Amino acid sequence: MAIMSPTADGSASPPVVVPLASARTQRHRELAELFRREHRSLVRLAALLVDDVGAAEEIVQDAFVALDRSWGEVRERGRVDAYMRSIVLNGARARMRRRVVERKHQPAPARSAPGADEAVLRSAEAAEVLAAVRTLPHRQREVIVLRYWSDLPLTGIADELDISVGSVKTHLHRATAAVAARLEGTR
Amino acid sequence: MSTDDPRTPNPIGGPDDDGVDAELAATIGRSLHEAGDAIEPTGTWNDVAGRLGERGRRPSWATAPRVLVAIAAVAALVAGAVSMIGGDEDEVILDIGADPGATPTAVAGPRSIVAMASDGRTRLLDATTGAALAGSEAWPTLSAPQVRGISASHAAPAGLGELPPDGSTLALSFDSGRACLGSISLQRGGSVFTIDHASDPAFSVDGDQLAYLELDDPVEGMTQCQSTFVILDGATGTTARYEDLYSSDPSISSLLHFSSPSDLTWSTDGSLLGFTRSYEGSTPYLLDVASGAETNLSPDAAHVPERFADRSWRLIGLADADTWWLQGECYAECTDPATPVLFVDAGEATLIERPPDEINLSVDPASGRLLYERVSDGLCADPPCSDLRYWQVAPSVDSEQFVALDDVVVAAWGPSITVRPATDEEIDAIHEQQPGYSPNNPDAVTTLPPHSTSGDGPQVPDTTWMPSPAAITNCVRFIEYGGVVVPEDLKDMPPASICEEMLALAGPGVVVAPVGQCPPGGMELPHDIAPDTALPARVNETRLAIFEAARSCNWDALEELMGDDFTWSFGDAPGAASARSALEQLQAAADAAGERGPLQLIVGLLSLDALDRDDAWTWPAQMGWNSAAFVAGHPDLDELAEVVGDETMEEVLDLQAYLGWRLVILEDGTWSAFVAGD
Repeated sequence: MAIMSPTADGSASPPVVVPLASARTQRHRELAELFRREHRSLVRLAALLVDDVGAAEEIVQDAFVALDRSWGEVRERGRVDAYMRSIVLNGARARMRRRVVERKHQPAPARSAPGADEAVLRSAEAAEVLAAVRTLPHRQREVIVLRYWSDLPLTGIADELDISVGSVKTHLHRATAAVAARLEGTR
Repeated sequence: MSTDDPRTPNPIGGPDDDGVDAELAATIGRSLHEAGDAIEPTGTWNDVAGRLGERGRRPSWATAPRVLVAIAAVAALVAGAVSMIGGDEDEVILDIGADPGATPTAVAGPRSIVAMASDGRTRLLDATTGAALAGSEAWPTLSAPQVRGISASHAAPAGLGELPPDGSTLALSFDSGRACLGSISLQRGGSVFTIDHASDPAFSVDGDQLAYLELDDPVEGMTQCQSTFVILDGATGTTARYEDLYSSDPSISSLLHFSSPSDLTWSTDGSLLGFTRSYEGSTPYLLDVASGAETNLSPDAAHVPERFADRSWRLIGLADADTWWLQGECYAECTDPATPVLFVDAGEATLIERPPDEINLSVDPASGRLLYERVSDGLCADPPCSDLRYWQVAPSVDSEQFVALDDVVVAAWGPSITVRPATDEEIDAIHEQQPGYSPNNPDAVTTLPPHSTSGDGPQVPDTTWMPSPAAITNCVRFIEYGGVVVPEDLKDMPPASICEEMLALAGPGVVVAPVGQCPPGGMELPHDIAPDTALPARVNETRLAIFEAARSCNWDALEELMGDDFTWSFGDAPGAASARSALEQLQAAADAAGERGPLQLIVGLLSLDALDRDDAWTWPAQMGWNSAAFVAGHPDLDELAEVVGDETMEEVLDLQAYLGWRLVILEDGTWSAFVAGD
């Protein structure tokens, strides 16, 4: 430990400081590359979970800011992609929970931009599936999106959500049954 | 496409490996991909780059009660020099000039904002007037410091006695970019003192003590820096040092996988030093300054509380199994009103419930009032401001009522940051979102969620602080490695007994466990269940009430819900005088064995489907199945097995009938039975 004193004329001695610029620049370069590679996919994942592209963009942006803070630790573990997906899932969950709370206080349903406008979907069937997915409890929705959008195996979903494979199966079964019931009703 | 691709129909039809009809799976997969592909994000890397380095959105206190400055609001947006500051008595506008060459970094202190200007100089500004504080112009060029502490104290710590006697002292922490080579810069006026190989400075509330970590190179076989807590006491001129055993003993480190301490903060009375270690998140610890004893405040590794709040605030953290905090930012479930808030001050832990849907919390060290921030999307009237944030003040952290006083402040940001009281129109808009909310009216209260009953005094759940097994294990390890000061009268006892005694004692560093939740009992308990629209309203209402009572281990509420002719048959609770006492006996036995008891079973069963028969609804629906339906691998049976356990399920499959625990609610909403057996 060294304590530096003011110089005789009262001006301050320059502190011993090692600039951060180089490390940060390198980190941001790597983050930018990750953004280029994963941003679109992450926003789409979030949008499928929260029905709102604007909110999805915010969730993913927050995830990158969080990753910036723990870059060294996460990068060392070599699980950047999984880490980002986890943060996005958690962000979406928090967003939905907050929305539930907000709705309790709102006389009318909150307006939100459509996540994937049914008008641009090529098939009515896809629109029905999406509509059914939107009505699912959030956990079921996570499972069905992770299974059929992210193409994760059941074990991967279990790891991601920190629940048992049996629970994943249960949620998946309920979710697909709800979708099937909706499709059945439209035929 | 591979056969594992969910979009690939099973060529022979029937269920796929997930047990889902292959054609249905393919339809869902195709539809989701079609929906996802239709989404075209518009965000750019520049949007993210502008926010990097943001330190969180924790509001801090300023001199005038109406002026609050959010750290992140400034940190994110001070992208250039502060070129103009204006506003009237109630309004502060920080006009941020475009300055692409500047390093964005700034922090608000109790009375001040620190801004890093484009010329590389650090300026300390009065948050209420915007005027540069004396001497700040003379500060030398610095680069991207983290401001970790501001002492407005009259007295400088004696260990740093060469600082001039007046004005604020600013502690800046510099990350060198290399391990164990950080430094601290203490600045007062034009004087600068640097402490090399140090990090995480924190002033005590009275400003008389400075704590920091002294860093040394890792010992052989370890990667983390050796850390020593150093406390400079301005009143006595003494220096206290505490070696951190975690980071100096490879055997402990490899055993516990914890990182070096960080984020030091003081209790308001200066007797405790809080800090965190990283272990799949941040785990809070307390260091008793008098004894040097460390205590892990986290009940078990699954609970990952928020890091300690900055500087002097009493807020220690949030602890909830489903809450994931990362460096102060919450990423999951943080708006759950059931998430408890843990306050620790002078050794007394208080657990209160959170007010609903607030985002950030802090505590005014002077008054003890709780400050919490809400974010109101959609109130932003003047783009490009992104949203408006406003703060409310609760009269006390001990109050169960969060009264909106007149300290409603709105901040909007864009090219400039404006901090001002809310206008009437904005208050109206807030009011629309929160019926019952009324600023400037102390009579208007926002009460806590229904599970917090009203009553006098602090809203502390009726519980005894219980050390968790993990806490005892940690404690034993500490004793074995000499990290715990064991009282004389306990020294002859086995370490586990010492820990039980010590952890049960109220006092500094008492380990507390989150309460108000049913223990998991070896199963994954659902946190809530959705209303089932297929049920009659009264049945649904009773179902939700029973669930809530069981989930929160609220025996009083459960007993109230039991109907007059409540049926119970508990062969394993001999002599029980009532259903409640019988259930409590069974629960106690289950808890002792770490198994699921009545409470867990109620919670689990009510999350399943019900059988509708003879104007009564029975959980689980398997009670009504015929024997042919009991086939191993059926998803509904897997679901039931999650609740009743594999052992019971084996019996069910043998019998081809379910005769286990079941819960019955009548059409009029009466809870009529919770029974097991034939």
